[in-house]
Parts: sequence; C-alpha cells; structure tokens
Amino acid sequence: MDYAVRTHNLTKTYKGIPVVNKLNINIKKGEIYGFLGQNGAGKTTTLRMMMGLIKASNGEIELFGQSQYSRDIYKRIGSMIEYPGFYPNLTAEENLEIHRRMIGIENKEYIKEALDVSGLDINEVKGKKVKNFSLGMKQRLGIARAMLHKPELLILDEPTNGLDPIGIKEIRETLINLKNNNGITILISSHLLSEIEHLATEIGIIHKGVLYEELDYKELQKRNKKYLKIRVSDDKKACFLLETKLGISDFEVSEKNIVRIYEGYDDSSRIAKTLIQNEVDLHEMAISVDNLEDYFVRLTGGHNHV
Amino acid sequence: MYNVMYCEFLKLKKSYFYLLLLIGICFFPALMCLGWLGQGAYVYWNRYIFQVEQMTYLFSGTILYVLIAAYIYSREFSCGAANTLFSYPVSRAKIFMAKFIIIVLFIFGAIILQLLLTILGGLLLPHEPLTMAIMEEHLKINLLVLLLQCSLLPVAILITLLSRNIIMPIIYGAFVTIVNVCIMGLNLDSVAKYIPTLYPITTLFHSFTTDSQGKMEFVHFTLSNYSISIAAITFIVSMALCIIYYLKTDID
Repeated sequence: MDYAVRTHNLTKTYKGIPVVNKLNINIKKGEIYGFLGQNGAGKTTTLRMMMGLIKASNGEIELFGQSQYSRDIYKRIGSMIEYPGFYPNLTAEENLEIHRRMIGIENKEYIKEALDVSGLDINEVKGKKVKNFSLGMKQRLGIARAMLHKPELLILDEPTNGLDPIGIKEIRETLINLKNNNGITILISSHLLSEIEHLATEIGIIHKGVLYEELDYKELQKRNKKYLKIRVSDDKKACFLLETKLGISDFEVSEKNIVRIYEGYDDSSRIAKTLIQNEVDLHEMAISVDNLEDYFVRLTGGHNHV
Repeated sequence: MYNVMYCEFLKLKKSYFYLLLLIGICFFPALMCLGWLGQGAYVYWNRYIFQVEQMTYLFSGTILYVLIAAYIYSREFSCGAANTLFSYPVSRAKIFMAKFIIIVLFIFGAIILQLLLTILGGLLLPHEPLTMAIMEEHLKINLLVLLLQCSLLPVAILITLLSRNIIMPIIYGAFVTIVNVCIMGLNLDSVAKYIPTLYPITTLFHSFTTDSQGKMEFVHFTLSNYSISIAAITFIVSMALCIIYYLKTDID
C-alpha cells in the first residue's frame, strides 16, 4: 500500500507535557484524510511537525515513503497551517508571485490557475492589497497558495474558517475535484465534524494528543448504531415506562425530552402505544443512524465541538 | 539563493519601509544644507561631510540600521506568514543568509545615498572645489563604518528573533544610541575602545584632524588589534547564536 504520510510514535512535549503522544497515522495516497479533534487536541501541532515547522520530541514522520528527506520534499506538498498569513501591503497576485519564486516554479500561469481554482474573483482582487481582504477572501487565497504548485499532498488546517456556507460548499467541491481529477492526497484537519463528514474518505480522531481511532468512512458508517429516536413530553416518565413496561434497557436521553432507543425498536408501535396509554405525549418518532458527531462523542466521551 | 533574495525585495514593495528609510537617509543632509544656507556659510567639504556623518552615526545610524534588520527579520512573524516561509523547500540557513545580505545591501545603499545627498546639498551652497580625492576618502571611511556596523547587526537580529517583533530591537537601538552619545559627550576614550557599538563613530572621529586654521584633513586611521578582535568576536558569537536559533527554533 502506498502512503503519502505515515507517522510512527510521533510525540511532541512542551515542558514535559505531551501535546501529541505516540501518534501513528497512516494516510494513503489519493485519499482525503479527515483529521478530527477538538480545539487543543494536537491537530495543528501534528501538522506543524509534518511541515518541519516544529521538531518532534520523539518518533518519526514518513513522507511519500521516505523517513529521511531533504527540504526538496516540500515541493510536493502544499499547506495552509492555521491562519493564512500574507504580506498585507501586497496584492493577491504579488503574494502568490513570492510563493511561486520560493517554490521554484517557472510558469507564471500557475498563479492565475490557482486563483481560478480557489474561487477568488480575479477582477475583484486585482490591485487590491491583501490587508483589505475579508477573512473569507484570505482563506481562499491561502488555499490558492497551497495549491499553486500542484502538489501531490495538500495539508489544510481548518480551511473553511471564516467562509460562508456557500464558500464552504465550493471549497469542499474543489477539494473533491482535486482528489478525483488530479489524484491529490488531502489531509484536512477540523474540529467541525460536519465539514469532515462531507469530505473525508478516511478519518483519524485525535483527542488530548492521542489518536483514538483511524478508520475509513465506510467502516464508520457500518459501525454507527441504528436507533429509534422519540420526542416526548416527559423523558423521565418515558424512560421509566421503557424499562418497567417494555423491558428495554439500552436507551439514553440525548437531549431534554429526546430519547434514543437502541434495542427493540422494530416494534415501534408497541412503544408508541405504551407511552400514549400512560399519558406520555409522543411528538416525534423516527428511526435514525449515528452520524460522525455521535461517534465522536461516544469515542471521546466529550462534546462534539467547541 | 537569488530567488530568495529577490523575494525579500518583493515583500517590501508598497510598504512604509522605503519611506522611513528615505526620511532617515535625507534628514541630516537636508538639515545640514538648510543650516549652512541659513548661516550663509562657505562649504569646506571635509568639515561639511564630516558633520553629516558625525550626526548620522551618533544619533540616527544605529536606530536606522537596527530598524532595517528588525523589519526584515520580524516581518513574517508580525504578518503571520512565518508558517509559509518555513514550509518552503528552502533551508532556513539560506533564508537567514538571504535576509542578512539584503540588510547589508540596504545599509550600503543608505550610506552611499546619504553621501551623495550630502554632496548634492553642498553643491547648492558656496563651496570649495570638490575633488575626487575628497569623495574617495569619505567613501572609504563610510565603507569601513559599514563593515563595523555589520559586525553589530547580528546582535540586533538576535534580539529580533527572540522577541519576534520590532519593538525590542528598537529599544535596543535607542539604548545603544543614548550610551554612545553619553560616552562620546564625556570624552571617555579609554572606555570607548572596549565598546564595539562605538567603533563606527570613533573610527570616523579619528579619521580627521583639524589644523590650526580649523581646516579638517583626512588621516589614515586603523582600529587597534584589541578593538578589531572585540568587533570580530561580537560578530562571530552573535552570528553563531542567530544561526543556531534560526535553525532550531520552533515556528508556532
């Protein structure tokens, strides 16, 4: 199997405290890898280590199958780590021109192509200094910069920050197209589960510096539980009835007056009848499947996102 | 390397850097020209140029050169582009050296431009004939001063790298200027030879003598071996620290 990135026991400690702890991630070529974790989970630190911005305290990073590599390998990688910083006195094209030269790309056309792909309106940004850009425009320009040299691996840290819903959708489509048409491997980190859910083919869940799970999205869908979701007038009474009258014990109150029943839901009419007969109003009843958000909460025992 | 250096120039495009630099360069030549014009004084070139050089190296030179160095090294940190800069397929050593060379070029350009502006200002006033020898002498002294200024640059760069902003280096520049002015004002020559920040100005002072008629003449002056050693050690130690720090530091 060909991997774009692998880490072996990758560790970063600050003053003896591990921020990233023995991380082993495996990103296959041509995949979109969603690197998921709450704020402060260690995502950005991991990406920084991959890009050589910070040194690992321990462990190893393998890029394109090489564990010993020169800086030339970064010609094959495009990245946007955290907030995309630019020279504010320069225009978008001038910023990209610096990038083009630093990467060593001869063809100036790449700048125009990158601006096109990122969805920035070339006429709107022409002659406009980056300091006058909105956050969304800067984010798009950051993506344009990361893609400018047509890298084999794209590392994007929270790329949709500051984008409006349409912008998020456009970026998502761009990334999927890059994967499908150009075979680019994409590593995208996010604390927004919905963002990863719509994009990733592989998922790595990091929590408090530890990789909890790494699985492909199809596998995740298989693992996710099916349940009967009911919205009632009194969740306490409903729970009591489920246990005593119906003998159901695998259920949980997910929100106030919303109960998820994981067993015996095939006989939903009996459940409904019992509740109504015992004066519990039933407002909603539907079969549902856990989504990534639920899975994440179950796995980490925490909140879905901050 | 050429590309990295060229990019350093591109980054400064349309910034206030050039305006500040131009003000710093023009200030004393313009002040001197206007002052002498007001007095209706006759220009004796050595004295005229010396006074501009003296004021520059005593009052504004250190701060201006520290400002150039700090601006160029702190730029990516202040605008948040450090993540990108250090992700390029270019070694940190190359980036560091490119920035250093650009700073030296800027200081060289500033010194030469200031000398030219000073001469230009003098030409507008009643003056003695300007000879090639006068220009060569001052060029030589200024190049020596440039060399001595360069030996001090890594100290300012190190402060910039540690603080990752422009404020601390400017405080350092202001502090050095005040110390220099105090020591020169008190004529503490015995102390001056131990302080490398004073070498540019003491070199300038000792390169001219005034004869009985008040006319300034150029004299050949060399720093003592002791002072040269201090300058060299200052440069080597601070440069080594800068490079080690630049190569090793985490960008976060």
